[in-house]
Order: sequence, then C-alpha cells, then structure tokens
Amino acid sequence: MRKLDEIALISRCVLADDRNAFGTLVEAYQPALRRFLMNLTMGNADLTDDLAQETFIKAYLSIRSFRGLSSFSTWLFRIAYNEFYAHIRRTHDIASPDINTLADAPLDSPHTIDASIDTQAALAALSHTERAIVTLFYIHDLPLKRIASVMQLPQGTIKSHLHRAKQKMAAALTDNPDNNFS
Amino acid sequence: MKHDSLDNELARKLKRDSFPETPNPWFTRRVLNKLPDKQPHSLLWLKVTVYATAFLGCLGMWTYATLFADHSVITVADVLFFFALVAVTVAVLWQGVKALSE
Repeated sequence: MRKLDEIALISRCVLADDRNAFGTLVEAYQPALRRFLMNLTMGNADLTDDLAQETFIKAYLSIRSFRGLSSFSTWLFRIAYNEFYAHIRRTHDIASPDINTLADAPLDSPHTIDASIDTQAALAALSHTERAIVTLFYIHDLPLKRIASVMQLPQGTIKSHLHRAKQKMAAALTDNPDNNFS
Repeated sequence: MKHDSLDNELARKLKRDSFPETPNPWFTRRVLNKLPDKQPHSLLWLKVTVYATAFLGCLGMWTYATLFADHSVITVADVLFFFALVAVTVAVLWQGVKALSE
C-alpha cells in the first residue's frame, strides 16, 4: 500500500471513525500479520486468528496514538508481538510445530513435506524472541532497525539474538542429511 | 542487510518452507464485527461552530436589512438580496438541524 493511501485511510479512521477505511487497512495488512503470528505460534491457526483479531482491535482502539514516526506495518507488528508475548506469559504455552498445517501445502509445490517439517522443527528449536526476529528478518525482510522498533529492544541485542538463531538453525538443518542445506 | 550465503539460504528456505498464511476470507468481517459501537461523531464540535457562525452571520444580515438599509427606494438588487438572504437562512437552518440531529 502506498504511504499516501495509508495516511488517507488512517486519517479517515481518526477523524470520521470510518469503518470502511479501517476494513481496507485490515485487508491490506492481515496476510503479512497472520503469517508472522503463524510462525510465532508454530502453525496454530486458531490461536493465530485470535491474536491477529486482538491486534487489529487494539490498533483500532489506539489509532489516535499512532504518530507516524514508524510505519503503520511496524506499529501493527509491535502490537501483534506484544499480544503474542502476553499470551505466552498468561498460558506458559510452549508452542510445538503443528504438523496438520502442512496439509495446506500444495501437492505440486517444488519443495517436499519433509523440508517443511525440518524448517519448522528448526524454528521450534528457537526461543520465542529468536523466532520472532528470524521471522521478521528472513520472511518479512525487515531491516534490523525496524525489528528493534517492533520488539522494543536495542539493535545490538537484536543482532546477538539473530546471530545465535542463525547458528541454531544452521545446526538443526545441516543435521538432517536429506536437507540440501550447506 | 543479508550479506552472506547463509543469510540468503536461510531466507530462501524460510520463505518457502515456514508456516504459510492460511487464507481466511471472513477475517476482516469478523474484526469489524468485534469493534466497539461507533462513538458520537468526533467532528460534532466543528459542525456546531460552523453552523452557529453561519446562523449569526444570517442574523447580522437580517439586522442590517431591516434596521440599517435604505428603504426609500427599492431596487432590483435589493429584491435579489432579500431572496438570497431568505434562501441562505433557510438552507443554514435546515442543514444545521439535519446535521445536529444525526
């Protein structure tokens, strides 16, 4: 979404409580946000949808406090991560991979189910913080500065976590001889 | 930011093999249904100010037209002014009542 369009939609939400404008924002950002949460929750689709809904509702309620210093997507990811973290603290839920989610993978895709299981198992070996950073960095292509803004951590801390996560993932993926990972 | 082959390989693998986003066509509708009820219009104060100012302006013109204008000779311009003033006053009153009753 273009920045100007985003600003126009946010202005309509703030000034006129325009629900259609907010719906457009939800439609635009929900795929990326839900994929982020899907990888944090290790494939738990129901929990992903619950957290994503809470994220957008909280965003709507506090949209007047959005100052535009960060991008709207960074702000949304921050709320989503906070929602996920609050859920973990409430439930002490240690997410393990939901293999059933792989049923959604297309049968004619070039990659194998085994490769997906290995990648997702490698993600499961990470801490919640490391998994969030890896997801934002490698899947959503966010720069370290924006990841630091999402997770409210210093950039140096993000770099350390990322470095550790890379080593863990590389070790987990090279352990499996079926992987073409070098 | 990604500047080595491990980064590129991890990015390729994660984008391809991590958990995908499962499309949910009802997601946006469900979010909008869960939003709280609409609050009173946030621009109400602005509307009240604008319509009050317009009404006071009309009142001022009526005061001028009835008390201070020269009525010894009535010209076409006076007649047009009078009808325009009536039309503007009716429009301001009608729109103001309609907007404030929403």
